[in-house]
Amino acid sequence: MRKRFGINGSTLVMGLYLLFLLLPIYWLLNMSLKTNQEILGGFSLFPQDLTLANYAVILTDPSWYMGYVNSMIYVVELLSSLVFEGFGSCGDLACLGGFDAVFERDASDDFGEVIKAA
Amino acid sequence: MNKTVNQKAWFLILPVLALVAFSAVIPLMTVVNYSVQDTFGNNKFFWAGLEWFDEMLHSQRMWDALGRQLIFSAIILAIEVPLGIFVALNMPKKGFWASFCLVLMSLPLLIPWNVVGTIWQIFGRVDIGLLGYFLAKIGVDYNYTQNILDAWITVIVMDVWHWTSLVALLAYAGLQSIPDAYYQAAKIDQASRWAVFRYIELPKMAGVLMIAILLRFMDSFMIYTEPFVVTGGGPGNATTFLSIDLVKMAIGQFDLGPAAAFSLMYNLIVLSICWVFYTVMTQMDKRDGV
Repeated sequence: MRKRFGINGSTLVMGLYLLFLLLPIYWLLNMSLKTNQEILGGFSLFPQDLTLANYAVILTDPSWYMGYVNSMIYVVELLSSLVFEGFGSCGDLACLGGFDAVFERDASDDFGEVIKAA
Repeated sequence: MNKTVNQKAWFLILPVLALVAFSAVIPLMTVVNYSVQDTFGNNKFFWAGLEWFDEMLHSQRMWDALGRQLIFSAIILAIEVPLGIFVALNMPKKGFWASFCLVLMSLPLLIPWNVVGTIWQIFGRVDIGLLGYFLAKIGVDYNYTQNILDAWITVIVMDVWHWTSLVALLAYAGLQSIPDAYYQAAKIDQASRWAVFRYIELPKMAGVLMIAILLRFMDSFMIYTEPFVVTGGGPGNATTFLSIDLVKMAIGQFDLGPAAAFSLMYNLIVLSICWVFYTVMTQMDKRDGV
């Protein structure tokens, strides 16, 4: 077989890399299950007072869930325009540095949910 | 045999032309329009010629932003490309763990830019963030809102977190396509691990790596949302990259003319670098073909 870094070396590298990828996501999940008081009140690795209230708010309050609906509409429109253009132009998506890039990116407005969850 | 010449076929591309005009040319021409005009308000514009271009070419602020932007792109490429290759080399080749790694690695790629910014904004906070809290615990004076170096490190680590997987996945695909016979030949030659990498794996990955570098360069060169959410361009102007500065100028100060002029120059820079990449890639294809 090929000489490799050895099974243990590869496993260690992948383990460390995946840990690096997952830590911020773990923290996001952790915060989403805490109450606001707990988040601001002190530091804890796991929710002491586990709650799904944040998710309930996101899924029942229109000012939150309409963000998802708007994103869906945007995606459908974007996909249909891409299909019609036959993927032929890199025009507004990739090539324009200034104004366009800004507006394209602002369109994915999921910013709020995270703040709320946090 | 003579082919029939029928110029009417050109009409077939009219629908595409119309759509491209609508989605690309008209918005671009709006920017061109702003870049050669000036206004005193009231929606009345008058001709300013190349004044804004001249002003922008001598604007220290814009050159600084461009410099920061180039340094940022250079740093993240220098980290993400070698790290991505290294990760790809260490990934399991097949079986359950290969799929497991692939799924976990694609997680950051699926998160929207502003959510990534928010995640790291909180993650790095000294009071409620895991990273900031533990750095403070072990006595590191870390504060990305006050310290320029910390702000840069945070923005760079965030980008590495978000996009290294893309490079790794592309490199992994390149590695998977190498036939086993190459490795067997290398084994017969008693090639070292380094020689296998240098003369078999790297050349076979070159094509996908060029695409990875191109994608990462373009995306990092136009980065806006993540640093905007995490540092807001601060402390001071330390992480105000080109897009952030342009938006400040165009929408914050409403200096549409200069911002439009600089947008066009920005666009030209990106286009010319893309052209260089494209030329290099096609040259490489030709060389491989011979």
